[in-house]
Amino acid sequence: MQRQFRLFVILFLTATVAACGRTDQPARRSENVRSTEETVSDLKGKVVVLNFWATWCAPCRREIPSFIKLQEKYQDQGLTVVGVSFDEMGMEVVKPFIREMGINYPVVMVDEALEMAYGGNQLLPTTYIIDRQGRYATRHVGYTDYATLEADIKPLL
Amino acid sequence: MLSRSRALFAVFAMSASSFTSLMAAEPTNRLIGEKSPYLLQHARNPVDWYPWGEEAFKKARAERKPIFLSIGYSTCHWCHVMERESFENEEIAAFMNAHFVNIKVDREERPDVDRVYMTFVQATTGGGGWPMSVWLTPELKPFVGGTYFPPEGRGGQPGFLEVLKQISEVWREDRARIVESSERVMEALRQSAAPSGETAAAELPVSVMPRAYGQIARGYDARLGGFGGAPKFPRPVTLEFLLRMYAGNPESENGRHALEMTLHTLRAMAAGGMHDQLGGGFHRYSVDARWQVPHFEKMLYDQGQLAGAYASAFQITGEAEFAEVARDICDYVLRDLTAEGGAFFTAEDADSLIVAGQPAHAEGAFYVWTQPELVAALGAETAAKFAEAYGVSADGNVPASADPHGEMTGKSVLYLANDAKELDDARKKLFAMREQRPRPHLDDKILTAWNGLMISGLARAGAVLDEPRYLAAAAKAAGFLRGNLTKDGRLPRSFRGEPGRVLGFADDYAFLIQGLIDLYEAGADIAWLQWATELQETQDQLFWDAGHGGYFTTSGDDPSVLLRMKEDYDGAEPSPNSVSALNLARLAGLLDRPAWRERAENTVTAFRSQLTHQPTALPQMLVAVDFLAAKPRQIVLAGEDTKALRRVVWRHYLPDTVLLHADGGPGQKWLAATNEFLETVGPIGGKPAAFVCENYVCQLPVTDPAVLEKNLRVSASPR
Repeated sequence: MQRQFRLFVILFLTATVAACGRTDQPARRSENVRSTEETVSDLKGKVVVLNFWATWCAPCRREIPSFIKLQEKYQDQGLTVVGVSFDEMGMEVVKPFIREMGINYPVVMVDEALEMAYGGNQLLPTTYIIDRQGRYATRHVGYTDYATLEADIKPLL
Repeated sequence: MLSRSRALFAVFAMSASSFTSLMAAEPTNRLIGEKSPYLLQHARNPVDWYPWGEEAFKKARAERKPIFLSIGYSTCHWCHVMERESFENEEIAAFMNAHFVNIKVDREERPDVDRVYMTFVQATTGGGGWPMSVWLTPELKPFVGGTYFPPEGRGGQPGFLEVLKQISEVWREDRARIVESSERVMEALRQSAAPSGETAAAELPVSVMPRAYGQIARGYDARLGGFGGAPKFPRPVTLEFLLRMYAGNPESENGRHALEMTLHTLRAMAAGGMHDQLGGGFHRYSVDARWQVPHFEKMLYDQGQLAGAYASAFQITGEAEFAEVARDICDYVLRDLTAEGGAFFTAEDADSLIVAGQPAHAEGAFYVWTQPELVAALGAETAAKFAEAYGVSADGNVPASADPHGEMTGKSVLYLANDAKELDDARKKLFAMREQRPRPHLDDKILTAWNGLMISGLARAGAVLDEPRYLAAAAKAAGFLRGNLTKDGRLPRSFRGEPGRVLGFADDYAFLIQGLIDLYEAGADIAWLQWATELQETQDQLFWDAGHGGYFTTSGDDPSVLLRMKEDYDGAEPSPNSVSALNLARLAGLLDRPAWRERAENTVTAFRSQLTHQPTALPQMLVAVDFLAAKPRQIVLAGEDTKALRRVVWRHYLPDTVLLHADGGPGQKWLAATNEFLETVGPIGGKPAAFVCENYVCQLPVTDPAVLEKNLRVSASPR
């Protein structure tokens, strides 16, 4: 449990680094690409569904409507979904995708440091569910359906 | 009642050709205008043969005569025996011409006609085979059927002339009763052919797999390889099924045994006389259980399927011997069975002239050797070594039981009896000498379906062996077929000089589509996948049974074919239904078209009853069931030059995989239009990349072939 929580912290540290490196093109709120500092501060006290994904990953794309629905339904109760994109081609391909799919939750880009933190062997999609205290609760590797995700988060809200 | 046993047929359908002399002075009949080499072989018979068609039917109706229908194919031994004995006999021919309208059909050209009357012959005689002899009313309804008839009665079997006389007498005296009974027979056939599949989306019959495995394993010949006793057939669909059983569970006892059965069988076949030890490629089947004495005809469909089977064995084992056999099959086809435009011929006969210019001929004459011939060719010392290695003996090595006509007395069929490593030069020398012998007859028509099987074999072998020549040959053949489509995009059944009149059947579509999918996966040219998609749509339109699922063999356009039937047996050639089930599942994965996956499942469930009652009847359909039930694997190779990554992928046996190519150009765009996951894949840091997703989980893309190798090795282990 402790170890997973550390990974979570590492994720956000490294994700921050990634976002800081991208000063040339500040993310625009309307596209749901947000600076990671913003994202991290937003997360305090919330139930977080952290989804590792990529636009080229078929099962990831199939899950996205579920995340949109979760965000819509439960954001008022203190839930937020965060997407971590593993797209090597960067925001260039992710942004149009966010728009097209109507993603209503924040999405950040991953970087090499994070990949190393996971042994370079990350599988997509992987979804972590984290409670209001920042403790890791559940992990799903591979396509997960809406009902499973909802059943996971409900007791945490 | 109507279940088929192809093994039984093939006993009749032995080998060889006729040596109808083609002297120009001889009168010809109506077959002279045909394209089929088999029909042309009968163009100088005194029998007034008609091809299948309205001209013959009209004459039968006008003259109120019954039709005698004789069906065969050019490499069918007994077809030619009957021709020599009966159809070249002036007395018999005169009787036939006076009392019957005589029709000759090449079953390879008209599998639809063959199928209808074979069903009748099987139902009424309990067996069937070629030559097939059936008597029909002028309305094309069968009333008497059989196979080969000797010219005169022998051993209780009635003679052909006698049969003709009896039938003509009954027809004269009791026509009304014959017509009535033929109508009853037709009704019974119609009912038994009536589709009975399940329309509702039933569950995949996965439970049939272990039962099929059990039945196959029980028939396994652990000592000599193969299944059952003599005669032994290669039946590559069984091997394909077993390899899937292995890949699904390589560590289990059944998995290991499935692999062992397959590899032992492939090795035994490769060492046998059924494998052309000098020229490469395989003969039709083995008369004995040791794979030693074959029937010598070489069929394109065997080469195509076996090239794929040996390539798979090489992927799994990495053993060079399997690669060599796959290579020698492909090289044989490129050398001896390839037409000028790049398509592939149908078959080579078993018989050939013993001495050029003399009429005597014998089965296998082109392939067998006497010891004195070896000594003359190689010198005494090498000849002795060669004889030891290839089982040649002074008295010949063919037991009389395997050579009922004594055609091979004193001669030896080459098979690998001992180590032959240092005999490459000797083999080459003998091969060169053999090339000087009179060649067996070549059936040089081009069949779409069989070309499809060969395109598959060459594409897979080309990719696995990393041999661009094979891929190029497969692409050239596909290009030839593409260039000869009808105006509305339909496939002709066959070509000889130009497309034949008969349009393609379900197998022409199914086998070619499979070839094109393999060619796309192997060589990355999107054009083949695009064409496969178009052909699938055409096939669905022409052959799909909307009521009960599955594909009819025929489109139903031809009123002279009285029954619309479905092929439900994977024999020497797989059923188009089995092949289509896998095609649809693969296309669904490649293009992300769930409707095709559903159709694949409906194709399988349409044959649930056959699968349940006779699980080994459809091993190729079980391959499709395995694909549909397995966790899917999707590999996308992105970048312009992905050869290095492709090589790695093809080193592995990954049967539940669809392989996509993202070239960054219009091909990728076309794919992305239906398969949105292709939208954003691309090279990484300018380097070609591999994206591997398995069971709905994706690995991060890799650019290093060595890392891909490692990842695939892990994922190729138990599913």
